[in-house]
Amino acid sequence: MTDKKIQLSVIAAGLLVLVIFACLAVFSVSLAFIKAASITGSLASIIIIVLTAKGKKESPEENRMLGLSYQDQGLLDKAFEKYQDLPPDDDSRELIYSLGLEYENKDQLNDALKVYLYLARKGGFKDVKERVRRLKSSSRTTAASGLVGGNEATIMPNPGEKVRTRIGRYEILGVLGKGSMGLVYKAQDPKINRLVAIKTIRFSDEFDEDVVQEIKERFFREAEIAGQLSHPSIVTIHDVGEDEDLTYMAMEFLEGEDLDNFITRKSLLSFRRVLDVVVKVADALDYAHKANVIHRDIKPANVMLLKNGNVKVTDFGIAKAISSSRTKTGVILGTPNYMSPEQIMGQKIDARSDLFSLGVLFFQLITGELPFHGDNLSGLLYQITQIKHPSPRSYNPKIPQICEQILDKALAKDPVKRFKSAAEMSRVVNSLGQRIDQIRIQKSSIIVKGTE
Amino acid sequence: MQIKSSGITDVGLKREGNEDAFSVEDALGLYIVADGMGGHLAGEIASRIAVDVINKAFRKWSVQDVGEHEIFGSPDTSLSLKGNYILGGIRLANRIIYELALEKKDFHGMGTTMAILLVTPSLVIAANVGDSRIYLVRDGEIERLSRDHSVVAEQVELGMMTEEEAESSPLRHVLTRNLGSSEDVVPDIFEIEPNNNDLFILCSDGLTDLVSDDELLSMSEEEPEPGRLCRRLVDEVLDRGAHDNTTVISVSLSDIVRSKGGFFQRLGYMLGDALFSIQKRARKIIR
Repeated sequence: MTDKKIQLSVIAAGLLVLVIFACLAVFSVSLAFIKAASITGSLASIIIIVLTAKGKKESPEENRMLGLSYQDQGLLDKAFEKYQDLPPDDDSRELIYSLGLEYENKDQLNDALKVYLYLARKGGFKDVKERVRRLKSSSRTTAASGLVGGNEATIMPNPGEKVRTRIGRYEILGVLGKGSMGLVYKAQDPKINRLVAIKTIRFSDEFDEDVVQEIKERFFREAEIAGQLSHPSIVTIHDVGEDEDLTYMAMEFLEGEDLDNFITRKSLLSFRRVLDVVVKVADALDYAHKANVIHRDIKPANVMLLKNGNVKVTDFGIAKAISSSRTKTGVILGTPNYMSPEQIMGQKIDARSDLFSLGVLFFQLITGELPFHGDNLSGLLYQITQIKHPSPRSYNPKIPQICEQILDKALAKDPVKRFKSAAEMSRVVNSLGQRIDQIRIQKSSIIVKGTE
Repeated sequence: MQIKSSGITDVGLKREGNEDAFSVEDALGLYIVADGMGGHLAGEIASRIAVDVINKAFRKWSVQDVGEHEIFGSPDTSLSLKGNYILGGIRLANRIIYELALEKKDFHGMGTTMAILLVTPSLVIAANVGDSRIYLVRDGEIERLSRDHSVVAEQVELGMMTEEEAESSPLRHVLTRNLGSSEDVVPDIFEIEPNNNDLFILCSDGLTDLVSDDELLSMSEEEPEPGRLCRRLVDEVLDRGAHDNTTVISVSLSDIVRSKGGFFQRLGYMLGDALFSIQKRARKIIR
């Protein structure tokens, strides 16, 4: 393309000889270069520059640029990191202050407070003191951090997950704990001034994108069915909804503890109390089964023991919504410890599957041990499906024989050999309790207890 | 100077998400294509961040007219001031992607290629990292203004592989450089003088995997208008199966008014152009 140009240039410049000499000189140099250099690349013109400049450690100015870019990209925590490396002058304080304002705008009040506190420690800036005071007194920061305080490691939100002040129409008062799939909040319904517990699930974090929508729909469908259950031992569901990418379920707020707190040898409830709990759970299951709802995930964490002595079963139907869905990491959600053999084998399940799970829970509540163990998942699954559970009396000889028979029936591998219904199981366990009560009245000196 | 430009990105027929990102900023004369990599959205994030960071850095430095020592990293004195802005922007974007990839588990292993074209009346700057390319179509010939940073491209440069072997090599998508995989990145930056009727094409490998340089030339001659050329090229890729995301930007120049360069400056450009053609011939002879 440049042949014409060469001629033009030669005529125009009148420097034919000079050009040729220059060309030849550089031509030979470039030939040598091409031969010598291992990588010559696509040389596009005489003013090609191939860069070889080497980077160096960041200067303050570079840190500032990095910080600004992070802030630009909304990565405020990274920006804060970079700004802290800057010399502590008014310029850097201004930058950090602007981060605080941005956190406040984004409603990440705990982060805003952290930034202002940093500035306050470094000698203060503008109205930082005032902002710290205001944020500290705000119920939204203190409630959350106060409740989180004691048990920080287990229930801190994931990094990057903002501490929310509102989910749907509910005002968050604090964090109650971490559920299997997300945080559980204590909140207030401003409409009717009622306290609620809000279970949150970030489906997008747990499942592959392509199945999220499907699971969500199933979740809402199941929640709707479960929401129609009304029983003294079943947690009432008030509402389900979505807020941004968070799916939530607003439930009756309960003061109490779940049974996870009573399943080790050192923390067992009294034997008589366990019978009560099992009867109440069985009654709740019987009610649900008659409404054609199978719980599918009976386990200690899903049974609450209230301060007033009542028992509440939570999470009806949720297991169905999320089961048989591949999660992101490919693991089974939750534990298979309480699953029935037919559930593990992927067979069609009915109400009797819940009775098996209740049997496992019963066993654990009186012995402090699980009936089925395994060094790994496949070992555990093998035990549940193939191996008979040990006698509970081998752990605690005080357990009456009749109780062992009840467990044998509940934990039968074949559903046909189990109790026919939750009502039947409830009746049998209840009669055992009543017999114990009678014996107590007759011989007040004999007390049958679990290992307390 | 008149600039006409257009850009299209297409997810293609086989991929679920589009990890390419691009930007067309006629006001700045800045055009960017980035082809991200990394699992579960990380590739999309890397390419988007790269495009965004470079755009913002370049715009800011240009508006404030900062000196070359105020860019990110030490300047390269053999480059023009704007060339240093581009260099600084690439380094800044690289560092941000690198640190994110290092720290956040979801972003582990993410990176992106980068092809940047800056057009001013006196200078055209082409910079690239990875295998996204920049072409110049001028006077009926097509020339790459970018250098592929891939294993096979280096083999070809070393004479250990022919272009044909490279095209069918299973390693053809393995990059030797990208943004995000190391703390520092070294881009290739070319600075050339613009000519009237220059046509530039920036693209991700979705295009160049399926369309050869010669085909690019003939299509750009049939369809020199940037908007229609981009459409034509993407349609061609879709016709051929579009196994990857494809992004094409096309920029055409006209009515360039030469800045008041002196006699020696013009002589220098002429010498440069002459050498350009001689070098090309020399390379053909060597091959």
